[in-house]
Amino acid sequence: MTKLLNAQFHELFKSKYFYITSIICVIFGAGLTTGMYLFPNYNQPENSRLILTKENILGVVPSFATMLLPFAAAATVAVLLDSQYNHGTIRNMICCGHTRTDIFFSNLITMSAAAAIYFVLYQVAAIFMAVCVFDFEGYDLKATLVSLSAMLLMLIFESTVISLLLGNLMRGGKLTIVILVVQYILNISIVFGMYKYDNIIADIAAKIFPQSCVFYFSCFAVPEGIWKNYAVSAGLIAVMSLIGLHQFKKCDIK
Amino acid sequence: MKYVLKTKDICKNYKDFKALNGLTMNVPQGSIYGFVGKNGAGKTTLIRLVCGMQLPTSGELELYGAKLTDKEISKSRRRIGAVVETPSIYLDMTAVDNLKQQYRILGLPSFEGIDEILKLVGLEDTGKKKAKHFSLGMRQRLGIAVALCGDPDLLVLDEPINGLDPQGIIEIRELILKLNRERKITVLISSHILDELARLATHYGFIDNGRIVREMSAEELEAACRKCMRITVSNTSVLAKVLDDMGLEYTIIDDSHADIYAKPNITQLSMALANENCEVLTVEEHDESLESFYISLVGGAGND
Repeated sequence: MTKLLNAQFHELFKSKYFYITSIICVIFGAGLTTGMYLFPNYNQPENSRLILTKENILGVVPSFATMLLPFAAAATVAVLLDSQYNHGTIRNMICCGHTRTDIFFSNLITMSAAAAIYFVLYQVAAIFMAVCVFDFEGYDLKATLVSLSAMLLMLIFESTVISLLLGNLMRGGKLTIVILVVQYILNISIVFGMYKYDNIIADIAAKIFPQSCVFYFSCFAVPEGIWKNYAVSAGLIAVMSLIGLHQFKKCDIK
Repeated sequence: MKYVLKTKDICKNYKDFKALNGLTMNVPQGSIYGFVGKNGAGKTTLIRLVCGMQLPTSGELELYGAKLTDKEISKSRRRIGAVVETPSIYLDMTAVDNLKQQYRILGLPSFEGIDEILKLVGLEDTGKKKAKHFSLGMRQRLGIAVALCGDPDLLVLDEPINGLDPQGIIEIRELILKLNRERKITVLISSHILDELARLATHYGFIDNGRIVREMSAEELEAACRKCMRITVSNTSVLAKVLDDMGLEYTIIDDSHADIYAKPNITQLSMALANENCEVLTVEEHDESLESFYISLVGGAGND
């Protein structure tokens, strides 16, 4: 496993795509903070409990990573997995005697780590712009920050594992497009989260996907029952990982 | 004889299609095993099973004494280097970087030996040129170089000369022979280009419809495809007596045909037969090529 992780991380850090996405995350974090500062009341959704004011930039911008990071994570999985199938890397790893379990988990760890790096870059850029450029105060509520980070990381892993499962199911072909479309559909749960008081289906969907909590965090408060949401998400990640592993162990590689 | 790879009654089904149908084969250590069969016969499927890319539906596969169900199969696979269909290379990396990445995947402690491998495959002067700018032959050689990382004992090559120009074919052939002779690497090579295999292989496995129809050594094949004179006479028992007297090697095919494995003096032979009241009807040179031998084994076009 260590050998594979070494090789996988080396491949990740050699990938132009990884650096391009990292730069996009930094630009997105810094740009969104600047945008919120300049146009604080732009396009505020009704009934969302979202408080878009200059004072709340540090509540809103870090939460908005939910819009970018799942796509960044999914696209990383798509690009790396596509390269591995098309360049014959997976084939090569199997021929070298690595077990499929090791290959699956080394992929999951590398790709999740890439997404975690995007997360850190986004948040650092957003907070740096807010605190150092626009003189906002840092986070008062550490609990909110911790919960937000936990939620976002969970979201990243959820997105990564679903994309990995899909990618391994397709094994090449148009996996990039499919992964991104599925990711887009999953991200609709952010919208469900906005209207969860009006609709029972939206409420259930919001419980499954942690990104739906994003609008609570924008109020600088840890939502009630967040642990239920975490538990459901953690369960989903575990189940998806097991299904993905089972599928990858049984599948025919060409 | 010691075998590095043995399969017994191995089957692989893709839904209702039987890609392998009870295939049994044995690859001797130190050999160049030519795996011959037409497209769709099951060559690549078997190679995928050997490399662990797919699992058989039923049957047994033993690699360096380890069965598929044994935990040691992973260790045995570490003794394999493989190029299956297309070479497993990163097109946006140089030849050296490709080998370094393979060293990392194998977990080798240092990059020692990379220069030697590149020299062996003739890619030592590629410098910073990326693999995407390589010719097809160079990519194939790089694929073999990647497969050679970690000093494998068995090299599995699936159609390595497909799409190569004559120069590329010669390069790959010489490389395979060099690896087998100098490094004592056993080579399992699949191809449907029979003439090319005939220049390499020490052992053959003829595959058709997912089964090995015949396994034989190069010597046995040579004997089967030997050049001879096919003679048609009125009485082959007389012919046999005359040929025995002349000390010639022969095979009686039926009552009127025989193959003579030498170049006899036709006048002398005809006169000797005439003295025994045996008439010579036709004499023709008979040379069964590997191709016609293969066709006779698998049944030719009618078998499609």
